[in-house]
Amino acid sequence: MQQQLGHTFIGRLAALGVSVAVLWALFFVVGPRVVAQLPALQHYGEVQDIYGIRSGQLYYTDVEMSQQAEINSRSTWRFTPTGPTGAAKAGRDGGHGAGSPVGKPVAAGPASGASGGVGVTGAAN
Amino acid sequence: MATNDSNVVVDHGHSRLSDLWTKEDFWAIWLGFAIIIAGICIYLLNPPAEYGDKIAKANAVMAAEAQRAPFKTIAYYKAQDDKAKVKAMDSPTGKAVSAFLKKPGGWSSNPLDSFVVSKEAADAKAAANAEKAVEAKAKADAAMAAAVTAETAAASAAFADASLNDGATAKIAEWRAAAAKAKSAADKAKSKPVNLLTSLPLLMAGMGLFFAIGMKFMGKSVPGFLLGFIGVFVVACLATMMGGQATMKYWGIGTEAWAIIIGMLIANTVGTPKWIKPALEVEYFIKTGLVLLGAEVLFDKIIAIGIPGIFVAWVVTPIVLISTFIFGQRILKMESKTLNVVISADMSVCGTSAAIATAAACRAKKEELTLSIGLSLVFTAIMMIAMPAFIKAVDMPQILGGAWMGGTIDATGAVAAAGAFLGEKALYVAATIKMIQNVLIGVTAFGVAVYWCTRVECREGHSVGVGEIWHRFPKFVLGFLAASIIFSLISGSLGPDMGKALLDQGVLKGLTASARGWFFCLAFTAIGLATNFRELAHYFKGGKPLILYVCGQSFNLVLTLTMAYIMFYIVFPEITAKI
Repeated sequence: MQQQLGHTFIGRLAALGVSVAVLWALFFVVGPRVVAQLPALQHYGEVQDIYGIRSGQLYYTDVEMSQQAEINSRSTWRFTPTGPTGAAKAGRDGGHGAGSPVGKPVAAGPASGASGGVGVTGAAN
Repeated sequence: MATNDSNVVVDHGHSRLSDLWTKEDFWAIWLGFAIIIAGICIYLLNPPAEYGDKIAKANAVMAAEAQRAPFKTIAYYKAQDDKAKVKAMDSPTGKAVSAFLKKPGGWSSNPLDSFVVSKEAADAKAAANAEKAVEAKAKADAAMAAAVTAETAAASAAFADASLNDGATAKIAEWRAAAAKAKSAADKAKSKPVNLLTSLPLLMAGMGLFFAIGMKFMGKSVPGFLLGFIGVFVVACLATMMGGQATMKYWGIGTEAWAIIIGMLIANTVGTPKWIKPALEVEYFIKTGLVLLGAEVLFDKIIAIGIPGIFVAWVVTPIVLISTFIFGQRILKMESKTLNVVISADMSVCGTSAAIATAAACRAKKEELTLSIGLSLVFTAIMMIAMPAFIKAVDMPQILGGAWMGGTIDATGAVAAAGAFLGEKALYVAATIKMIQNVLIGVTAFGVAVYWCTRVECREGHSVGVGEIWHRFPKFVLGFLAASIIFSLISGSLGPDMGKALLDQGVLKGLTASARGWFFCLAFTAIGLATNFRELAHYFKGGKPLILYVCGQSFNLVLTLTMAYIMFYIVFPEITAKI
């Protein structure tokens, strides 16, 4: 009987309805409750809104922030902030930026030439 | 994908001149290149003269600031931002093309908002967000003032006082974060009316006819295809709509995943209508999309973050991919080599996009691709939350955490989101590492295609001649590689800045990436509509795919973290400190 129902159009339509209802409950009832309970998840959503990211995006060309990230990374290598000689020495003697992630003094120095061949002089292209 | 159960091809292939206009692989190349050439004509042929001036001016400021201060100053960041605003897709033609290819947008509670937003609704939304935008701008201005004060103090000491330099760096980071929030709030306060009900039918007709050209030459029913295409396109629009729902960002479920889910729901409940079936051309859509993806595989990207990036993304990834594949064959004794390699590539390279390219290169079955993507989605959803939480809990440096996540989390969007969770530095490093890893798709697809032709699809003890390799080689891979090489050369000749303005933010983002997104969505819709749950369950038998993924990803986590630490903190600490 059950098998027969499964093969009728109404049975299949009911299966579709149940499946949609389960998905709806998962994403629109359970999901928001889980998010409401977890501040980390809320923060995760907020930063995506701020930076215009969607976690389901497929490739780097889909993620607008990837472009910004690439420019920032390339800039670091092409125009490595070195500052005047005295400042570089201050960094070497014990300073590391607040934003610096290293847990030990940074061995600051002139920019290494390992920037893929693009130097400060190659400003315009 | 493959229609037989065996990976071993026993018959000899044949190639004819007529393959050029009767085979799907070649049509994928012709159609893909038609779009690529259109993109070149629109964006590359007559670039505005002011682009070069703007870029040169920004670079001059950055070079001067780099010499002035030992950290990135406010002027340095402003010049960097100015450079990022140079986009070919912002031209009137670019905007028209983008509007034509526009997908259903985001929504929260009313799905119709994805397709139509009236002027009244847009104005009401803008007004509701206006106050927040003003508040965010005030905070950004205050953060900017504090950053200026701190930088001035550091400058007054000739940047020789380490504590003042540290203070300025911290204040500038706070200003950057506040400015990002202000920009986001300002964008929300500029809500505009939308009506996709006119552009989507046009797009559907355009794409249907575009693919129908190939169908005609391949000897398939064009009216049947066009009729079925309407159904596939409508489901693809529904999938895009679901992918844009506001809460999906928490779970990492995008358009492609929804295309499979909705398609499978229909196929396994009410059944896929017969009239849709002639349009379920999975491989045709995927291969055309992959040729377009080739244009996005730019090899000059691999030096974006210097040698550390190359080691983290281009040394670790192949090691993990090959090790996982060998582990699957020799230890787990996976029944399907194609499933093994698709999961290995999906897990080690960059998730769904790598899975698509690898599956097409080795002619994996559609169920195997679906299973790999499903695994990837589940683990991405876990890792994109768990990894930043762990990194924060153990107080791991942002750069190290970013590099670790960039090299291990599968999906590109999830990597950026997890990086943003930690902060801007982590976001920049994670997204850049992932971008470099994305480029590895080209090498992976080519390597897998060659390996399959020469080692897998032949009988044991039999050698395969060059002619036979050519017969068996998936030809669309050549289109994919040609697009990649041509665009890499163009990008290299333009230089990183002009290349970004005209290629990344022109040809690619303005046309080919949008078209590729649609084609993949159509392909996944077709996969879903043609997949049977029972067949899918068969591939999961014994849980071996899960074990393979977990073991491979565990190895990936350890190796990536080790390499990132060595590269960013032992070999290049001076650069790491300036990122």
